[in-house]
Order: sequence, then C-alpha cells, then structure tokens
Amino acid sequence: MPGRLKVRIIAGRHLPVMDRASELTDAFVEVKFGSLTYKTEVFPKSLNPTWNSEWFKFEVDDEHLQDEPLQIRVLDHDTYSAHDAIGKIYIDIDPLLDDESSHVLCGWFPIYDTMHGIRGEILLTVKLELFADANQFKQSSCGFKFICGVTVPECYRIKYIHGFVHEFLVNEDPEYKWIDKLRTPRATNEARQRLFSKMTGELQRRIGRKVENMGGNAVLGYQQQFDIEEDSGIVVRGIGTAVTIETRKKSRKKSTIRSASSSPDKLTKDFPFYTMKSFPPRFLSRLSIAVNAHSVKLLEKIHTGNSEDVETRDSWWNELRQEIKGHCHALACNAVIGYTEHASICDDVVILSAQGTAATVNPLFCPVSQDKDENCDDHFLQVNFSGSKRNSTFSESTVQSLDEDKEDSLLLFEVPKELTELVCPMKCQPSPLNPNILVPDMLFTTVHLPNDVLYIGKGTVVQARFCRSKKKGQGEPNAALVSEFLPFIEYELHKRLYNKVKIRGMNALFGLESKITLGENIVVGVATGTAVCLAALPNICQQSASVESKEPSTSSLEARYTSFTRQCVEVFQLKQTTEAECDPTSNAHPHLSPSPRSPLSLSMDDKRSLVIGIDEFSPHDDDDEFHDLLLNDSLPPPHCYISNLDICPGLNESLTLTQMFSLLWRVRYDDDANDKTLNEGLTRCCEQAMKTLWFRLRRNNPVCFIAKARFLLVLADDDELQIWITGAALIPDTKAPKDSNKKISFRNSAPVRAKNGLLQEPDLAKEDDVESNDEGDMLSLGLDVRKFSASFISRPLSPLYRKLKRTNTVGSRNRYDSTSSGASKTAARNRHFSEGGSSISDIDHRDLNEASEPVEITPMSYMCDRATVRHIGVLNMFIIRETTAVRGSDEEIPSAEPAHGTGCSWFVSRSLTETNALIRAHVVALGGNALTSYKSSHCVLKESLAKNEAQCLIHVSGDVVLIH
Amino acid sequence: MESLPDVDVFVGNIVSIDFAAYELWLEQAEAEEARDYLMKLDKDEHKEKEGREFLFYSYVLDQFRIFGMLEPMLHYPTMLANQMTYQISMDSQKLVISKYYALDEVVVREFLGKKLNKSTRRDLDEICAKTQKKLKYCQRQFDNCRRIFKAVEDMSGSLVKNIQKHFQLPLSLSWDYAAVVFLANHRFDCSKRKLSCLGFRDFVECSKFLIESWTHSQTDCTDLPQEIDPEFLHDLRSVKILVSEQKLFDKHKNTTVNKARELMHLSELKGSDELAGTQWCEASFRPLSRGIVGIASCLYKSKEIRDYFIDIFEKVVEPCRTCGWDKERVNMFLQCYAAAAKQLPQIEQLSLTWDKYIKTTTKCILQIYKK
Repeated sequence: MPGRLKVRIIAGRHLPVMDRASELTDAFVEVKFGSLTYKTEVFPKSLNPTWNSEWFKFEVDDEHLQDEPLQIRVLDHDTYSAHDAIGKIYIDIDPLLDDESSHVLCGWFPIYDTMHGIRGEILLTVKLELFADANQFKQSSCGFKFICGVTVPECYRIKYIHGFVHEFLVNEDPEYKWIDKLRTPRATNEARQRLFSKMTGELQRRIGRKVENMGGNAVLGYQQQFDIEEDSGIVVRGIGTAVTIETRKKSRKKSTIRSASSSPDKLTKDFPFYTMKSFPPRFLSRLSIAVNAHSVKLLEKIHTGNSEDVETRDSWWNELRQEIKGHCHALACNAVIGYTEHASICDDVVILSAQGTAATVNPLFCPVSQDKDENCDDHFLQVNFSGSKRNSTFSESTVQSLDEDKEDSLLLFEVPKELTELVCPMKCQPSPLNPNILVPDMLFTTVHLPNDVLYIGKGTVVQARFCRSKKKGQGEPNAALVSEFLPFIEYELHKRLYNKVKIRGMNALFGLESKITLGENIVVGVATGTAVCLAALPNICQQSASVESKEPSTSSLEARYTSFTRQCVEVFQLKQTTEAECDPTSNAHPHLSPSPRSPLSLSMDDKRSLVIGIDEFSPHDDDDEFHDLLLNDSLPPPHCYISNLDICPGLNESLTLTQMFSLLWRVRYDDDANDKTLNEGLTRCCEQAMKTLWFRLRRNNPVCFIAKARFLLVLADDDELQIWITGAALIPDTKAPKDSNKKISFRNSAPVRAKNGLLQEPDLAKEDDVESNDEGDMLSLGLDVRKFSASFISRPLSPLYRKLKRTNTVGSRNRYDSTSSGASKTAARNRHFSEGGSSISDIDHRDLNEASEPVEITPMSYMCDRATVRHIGVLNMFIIRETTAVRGSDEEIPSAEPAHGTGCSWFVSRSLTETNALIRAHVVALGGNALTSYKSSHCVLKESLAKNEAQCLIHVSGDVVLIH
Repeated sequence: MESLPDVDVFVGNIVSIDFAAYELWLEQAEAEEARDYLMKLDKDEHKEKEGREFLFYSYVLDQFRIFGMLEPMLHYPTMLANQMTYQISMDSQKLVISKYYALDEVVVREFLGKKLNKSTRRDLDEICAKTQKKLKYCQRQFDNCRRIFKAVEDMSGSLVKNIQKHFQLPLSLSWDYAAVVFLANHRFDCSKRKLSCLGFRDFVECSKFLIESWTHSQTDCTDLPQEIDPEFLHDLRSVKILVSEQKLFDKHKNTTVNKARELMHLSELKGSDELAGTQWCEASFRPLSRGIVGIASCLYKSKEIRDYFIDIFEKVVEPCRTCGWDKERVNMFLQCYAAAAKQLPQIEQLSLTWDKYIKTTTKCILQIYKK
C-alpha cells in the first residue's frame, strides 16, 4: 500500500532563547521524510511561534513508510552564519499504518536535543492516506500489530499461536566511524538516533513479513534489543511470537481476515519457542524447568553490506537456539516458553545467552465451543488484571468442586515417569495433593504464574548474585577465559537461588531472569525471580514438620536458619494452609506450634543433583560466607511485597498504580579486589539499593507493593557498577469497594469461578486483617497519621523553624487556601493557550483534559483497575543524551550532588525525566493515555570526568494503549 | 566495593513533591540540614535505625534535584502548567508556585519602595545580616519581586489581575506583590527610621488603598495601571486655599469643631467635660490641617509622592500621638475634618477630588496609627 504522508506544523511554545541580544528566537521548522525536506517560514522574534504551515506532502511507498522515521528539526534562523539547531523530533509512523487506527497523529512534541535535552515543544499533525495495493511481491508488511506485552492485551483474544519469529539487522555504528573524529558530538548522536530509528522500522517490517508468511496477524511478546558492539558495529535483534488475534467485541460477528487455518509454517517446527509468559487456557499442558544456554564469541568489524557478518551472527544465535531445543527435548517437552535472548558485550567479546522454560504445549488448543472459551478466557483475563488470585485457602467444603482444577493444575507439574530415570535425573516426590503424581521438589521457570495454579501465601522476589574477577585481556585468550567462567557462575547462581527459595519455605520460582554481564575485569551474574509456595509441590514447612528432626542439634547456624524460615513463613503467610491442609489430627496452633525443626535436615536426602545443579549444604560446612549470604537477605518492609511478575502473588486486594519508577545506583569498586570482597560488595550494593527504593516508595505510602521489578546490571567502566532498577509501585486501592465480589461481578466475568475460589476471599481478607492487627495495630495507626501529615504540611519542631513558620508560611498558607480557586486557574490557562493561535483551540481542550488525567507508564502488561480498550502500537525509542559540562555549568544543580558525587546525578535524573516526557508525548499524540509493558533496556551511563563529559543511553519500549 | 554510591537517582513518571523538603529548600537549607530536620520529623519507630541517615540524605538530594530542575519553570509559572517534561498534579503545581512566591515579610519589608535593580540586590547582604536569613534566600525573595515587577511593568489592565494571571498566584498574594510593585514603581520612601515601626502588612494595606482609589488599576482598560491619576494630583493643588485663606481656614475650623461636638453628643461621650471635648479639636486643628493640606497640595511633584508615608507620619500621626489621641479620636477628627471641608463652597467643586484624597489618606493614617 503506497501512501501519502501529510505533515503540518502548527505552533511552538517555550522555545529557548537563541539570540542573547534580543532574548528571542527566529524559529523555523524542517520536515524531512526519506530524502525530501520541506521548510516552514521563519517566525521572527518569538519564543512561542505560530507557523500554521501548509500541509507538507510526501508520496512514499509502504516499504519506506515502515522503515523511515519522520524527522522534524527546529532551527533558529541566522542571516549571516549557519542556522542554529534547537532540537529534533523523530516520529515513528508505524502505528498509523494499522488498519484500526485513525491514521492521524496530532499533539505537542518536546523538541529534543541530545546535548541540551528538551528545549520547548511544537504542535504538529501527521496524516496518512493509504492506497490499496495487491502487489504480491511487496517487501512491506503494513498493519501487523506488534505487542511488547508478554500476555495478550485484554481487548484481544488469541485465535491461534503460530510460533517463533526472529530477525536481526547489522550496521556500522556512527559513533565508531572514523568520521566521528571530525564532527560534533551532536551530529554523531543525531546520526545514531536516525540510524537506530530506521533500523527499528526495518526490523519490524521484516518481522511483519515473516508473520504474514506464517499466516498470523500480530506479534506478541515482541522484544527488541540493541547490541552495541562498538568497533564491530551495531546489531538490532527482534524476537517475538507470531499469533492470530481478534478483537473481543467483533469475535462473534466475524472472524479475522487472515484465517488461522493456514498450515503452520516450517519455521515453527524449527524452533518451537514462545516469547509470551502467560498463555490462554488449555495451551499449556505441562511445565518443566528453566533451561538456558550461553556462548562466548569474538567480534570482528562489521562492514555494511557484507553478508558474511549477517550469516555469522545468524549462525551464532541458531547454535544457541539449537542447544535450547536440545535441552527441551531431553526434558521430553515439545516447546520452550517464556523465551528470551540477551547479549552482553565488552570490547570484542560477547556473551550470548538464551533462556526459557521447557514445556509441553498444545498448539492446536483452538477453542471448540465458543461459549466455553469465552468463560475461561474471561477468567484468564480477569484474574490477570485484577491481580486477584485464588489463594489456596480452600476449605473442606470447596475442595470437592475444585478437584477437577486441582487435577489440571497438578498435571502441569507432573514429571513423566521416563524422565525420572534419565541422564539428568530430577529429584521427584509425590505431590501433596495427589500421591500418584510425581512432581519435582522445586520448580524454576521463566514464565508468569499460570492462572489455575494453587499456591499458598504470598510471593516475593528472590535474587542471587555472583561475580568473579578476571584478568583484563583481549582476543581469543580472553574469550576462552570468559567461557571457562560461565559454568561456575551459572552453578553458583542456581545454588544460591535454590537455597534462598528453600529457606524462605517456598518451592517454586517464576519469572526467572538470569543475566550474565561481562566487564573488563569482572563477570557478574544476577538471577532474579519471584518465589512462591505451590500447593502442588512438596511443601517444605509441612515436610519439615513431618521429618521432625532426627538430630536435635542446636548449632547456632541451624538456629539461625530455623528462625529465618520461621520469619519468612510468618511474613509471607505460608502457614495458613499448612494448618488447613495438614492432617487434621495435629492440633498445632500456627503461632505456638513447634516450628520446622530444621530445614537443613531436609536439604535433600540424596546426593543426586538435578539439572539446576544443587549442592547440599550442611551445618558442618564451614563456608560461613555462604551461610551469611543466604541469611542476611533482607525481607521487604512490613506489609509490603515485591514481585517481578505482572502481579504480586497472593495480594487479593485491588491495587492502584502509583507510578513507574527507575532507580540508578552506581558504585565504584577496586580494580584489584579479590572475589570475596567483590561478592560482598555486590550483595551489599544490591541490598542497599533495594532499601533505598523501599524508603522512597514508602515515604508517601507506608504500605506499598512493587510489581514487575527489573534489575539491570551494567559495567560501563572498569571500576564501576551500575544497578538500574525499574518497576511499578502499587498501593491498595482505597476508593474501590472493599468487597472483592462486587468488583468481580462488575467485571462481568465468569460466575462459576467466583463461586469456587473467589468467594472465599472476603473471609481470607478478614483473617489477614486479624492477623496483621495482632502485630501491626500500632503501626497501622501510626502510619495513617503519617500519611496525612507527610504529604503536605511540615510540622515545625525546633524553635527556629517554628518562628519561621509563624512569620511567613503558616499565615500565608491559610490565606491562599481561602482564596485560590480552581476555576480562575483554568480560565487563566485557557487564555494563555488561545494566545498561541485560534487554530489550536480544539487541541487545547484535549490538553486540558490530559492535564487532569496523567499519562501512565507501567512496566506491567495491563493497568491495574482499568481495562485496555485499544492497543495502538508499539513504541521503541533509543534515546541518547550527552553533556559536555558534567562537572558544572549553569545547567548544574550543585546543592543536589552528594558530597562524593561526580556531578552525574543531576544529569541522569534529567535524562530519565526527559525520556519519560518523550514517551508521554508520543503516547498522547497517538491518541493513547498509557504505555504498558514499559521496558528500559540498554541503559548505560558513561562518564569521563577528565573530559568533563557524560553520556546516557536508554532504550525504551512499550505498548501505547488506550485505557478506560 | 564502595558502600556509598556516587550516583544515586530515583525518577518516577509522576513527580511527587515532598513539601516539607520543599520548604527547607526554599529556605536554602543545605542537604545535610534538611536531612537532619526531616529525620527528626520522622518518628516512625518501626524503621531500621541503621543507615537511616544515608536514606534520608539520598532522598533529600533527589528532592532537591527536582526542585532545582523545576526552578527555571517557576520563573514563568504559566509554563509550568503546560510544559511536558514534568508530570505534576494540579494541586501540587499550585502549591509549588504559591510557596515559591510566598513573601517573607521581614525580608521584603527591608527593600520596600527601593528601586528593584542590581544595586539594591547588591546591598542585600545588609538585609540578610539584619534578618538572620541566608543571602540566597533574600536574593530569591528579591528576584521574585523584581521578576514580577518587570513582567507587569508594561502591561495594560489591572495590576493585581495581571499578577494573578501571569504568575498563577492566589488573590491575596497577588495583592501583596501588587503593593510591592506599586511601592517600588513610585519609589515610596519606606525606609526612614521613623517608619521602621511599620510592618510589611501596613504598607501592603496602604498601597491597596492607594491603588484602589488613586490609580486606574481597577478598570481593565488602562494603559498605565500603576500611574497615579495626574489629573487628580493636579486638581489637588487647589485645596491649598483651606490653609492659605484665613477666613476659609476659620470657617473650616469652626465647622469641624461643631461636627465633632455633634458627634460626641451622639456617641454618648457627654459624661466627659464638654469644653475639653472640643478643646482637643480646636487646639490641634491648625497643625493638622496645615499638614494634611500641605501634603495634598504638593503631591503633584513626584518627589513629594515618595515622601507620602513619612509626611503623613510626621505631620498627622506624630502630632496626634503627642496629644495622646486614641485611634477612634483620630478617626473622628478626620471624619469631621473631611466633612467640614466639603461643606465649604470653595471646596464643593473639588469635592470628588477632595473625597478621593481625604478618604484614602484617612485609611492610611488609621492603618499606620499605632499607640
């Protein structure tokens, strides 16, 4: 479909002063698409220009429409010398190609300059007219939906899952070209941003083609990665799952155009991988364990157009995928789900990693009866986004009705008989729910918690970290050294994870994400997941009770373990069902019962280690360091929970998003420190960073939760470690009715389910309340007061401050309150807007609405408490920000630097804030009001104090959606 | 590995402002001071003691960074409402602005009526020594005033409304700034030692009376809202006859005394000595009338306008005070004085001008009259 792209530049505001003498700016705008450039008139001497330009028209074929970004450049006219650039805007017009879209984009965009950040805003409109075209030899793939989310947005329904799609592009990186030495940093940055934007478009176009060949109409769980290989160039990789989706509302009337009946392509058979993390019901039949593969490669310089480079990298990744596939077959599974790929680059060595969960799936899960499907599907959806989970608090009476489900969910974890005797033996035990079924004693997976699974208590994030110093080196020997390290690191990570999960009294880990990061003199591995206690797997606490300690040794270490586990059981409320589930004869009171004597004694009774190589530990082991490591993990603050999944397992109350946050924490380490100090340092840093995070979040809301927490470790220099944490902060929804039943019925979802499990919830909640009151009565009272006072009014304490308050603030505040009125303000705003020009009045209106309703960004794939009405498109932005005055300038805020800081904090703070602002502007212009599945990857902060420079790279992606 | 980070940044999608920290920042507290203060405020016993100092410190730095980044926008508050870089709730925006522009009456009092230029700004260190505030804090107060002064200087329309609109301030605060701007614009002398007993509020109230009655500021369609009506000042010269012509003066005096007597009858002050009742009025009439009329007839000289406050203080307030009058008596005298003058045929044609002058002056005198 060729099309006509029309762009109109309407107005600008808050432009920077470009002419110091007059303190004004003579701005004009360049609009560029492909090789064609248009210019607006110069609007002289104004910081709030109104151009009201004509429609600039570009006639382009669809291939270009997909590849090229629309480039807008704002400049200051200069009669005698070259025009000064104010900033640029890149607009990806891909979302406009969607059939469902209005093909219009309109709104204020921040003018972004890589050296100065946001410098004013301009208002523009883009329209796209597409012409029908049936050329079968086309290279384009317009109208395919790309969804970053790992689950399908609730406004769609999956009709068919086709399979894995992958593609990558290779190019030279402008930053590392020889010409970079001749041009300004700004020119380089802009060349990079342009290239990255173009590569993103091209990658999506190519993947779209593949999806089309497979007969799908969308890509789910789309992940795009930029590998900056420095001298070797730049690789953009995309993986995803081709699916056929249909809109929920339409589903009954007509099926989608692209029928699912087309036979699955061979590609699917090549790699039965799925990048999603949640699946429609009946798709998953058995869940095995997490599998991963790494390989270390040596990079060579990329030459554009050299097909060899492409082939080499293709073969690298294929090797890795083959290996994963091999693991998968060894586990008697037919698919890998929750699949991700990751690369870590340092100089010329790259570690490629692939990770997923082996599983048995039923690709032909296609619903037979529409109605039944509706029910199940809806349930799937509702559970998914209300965050409410059936906690396994079923009492005797409901067990009966649940039997069928229980069986289903139990089979999910079954270990097939033949596997138990295979080369890689797993430790299996009969399930506590059904002794005839063998289940693993511990389960690690990369996917989200399936919806039908029963679990006990609450979940929590568990993280294992391990680092090893290595000699600096280059070339082959370096690569060889790294690849020798990998198995050790992986082993250590798994050992730690396993034990950490275990001493928390839990038996499964979901959303596992392990990343190995390569630095010049260090290799760091971090594995994070959300641990839960599954009802179907052997319960550690329960078991320990039955084992009841053969050796009543009371070594101090053992006591420490015991008390830690006991604490966890209490904090995560793992006890509740133990009591209900356990044989009724034991009349043990939850609080008084002799707690699990020693979880140590049950740390595996036979030596056979399973695939997740686990080594047993005993109290006599004098590896104190290791024990300390396990035991010194701090638990989340009281009444707060954290997860790296879309939900916080076990939280039944409805939640509201307070906001998405990012935290950057950078520490320096000694170049020649030994492994022990490094490991201690790493642990301390991560813990401290988490503590800081909780502190910040709890300042305003003492009880809050973190979902979708993501940890990113970056080794940017040879002596610094950066920890980037992103996540969603949630608080209990105070506005919503307490009765969760009401909520559910409001959502018009399956009543059958509600009768089974969900009805139990109010009781549970009551129980929870009672329990928390025991210990937290005082606390919660205190917190309420704090919540009120901390928000706005400072309470004067010292005489000095009291005096200050009396003389000015207190008195004046009262006066303001009585006189300030919202109406007058709105009126003033209106007036201000209309000064810009009459033509923008309708947009003003929109702006005003927007102001009252913030644009939300969330890393979760849905909005708590709000339904996704429409998925508008995917957003992929690579943002470069640089400064040549990191140590100080008029931009700097000196009082806000820590004493030992270098001047980078304000720079990062500003970069992150501006990145969010760019995202919001795009979301609004596309007609959305939120960005879901937000993910920031490739965040790097590079700093050169000697040169007084700093650079920050952030790649963000997410789904632009309209929520209601 | 170092235990403290050298970069420690927390950024959210929505900027949340801790107003306790914000006030400390406005007072130019150092991050360490702010940390200690906030820690004292936070009495949550359940929190870990260990490492609290660091947590608060990093929190304060983050907040201070936000304020630092927001500050340039606070200079153009309308910009804050429609900028896209920081997502701040409307309520917070309002509070941030009004706190930023909150006037420190003690500090601002010191430079009231002075030219808001660089040389005054240079002298701020004296003020900061006198008021025990930080220099930067005083400078911010000064800069706020100057910024508003410059912004509304050439604007037409109502002074107060302009301030309210362009700086998004609550009405009462807008009035305060209108007064500051008005006093500075006419360079009213407020710093004489005798006037030091008057506070910021007194000047604000007086300016309010002056702005409301002597300028065209209240009508929306003026080009120079701050200028005192020149026609009025010109006409005011003619009231000189009240003291220059002896006959008229006597008549005025008598009428005033009579009126005062009537009033005293009415107000049941009969019990006191009747002679003494008019005695006070007769005795003080000459100096007071000379003073009041003298001020009025000279106001057309811009130099005299500057001395308006000191003049009414020296020529009216002080004599009354020496006589031991209370506020009520001053008021009574001025009421009678004004009404009596209006009855004189020579003043009748000037009655509007006279009213405008004497009513406002009466209000000002009463405002600054302190026992």
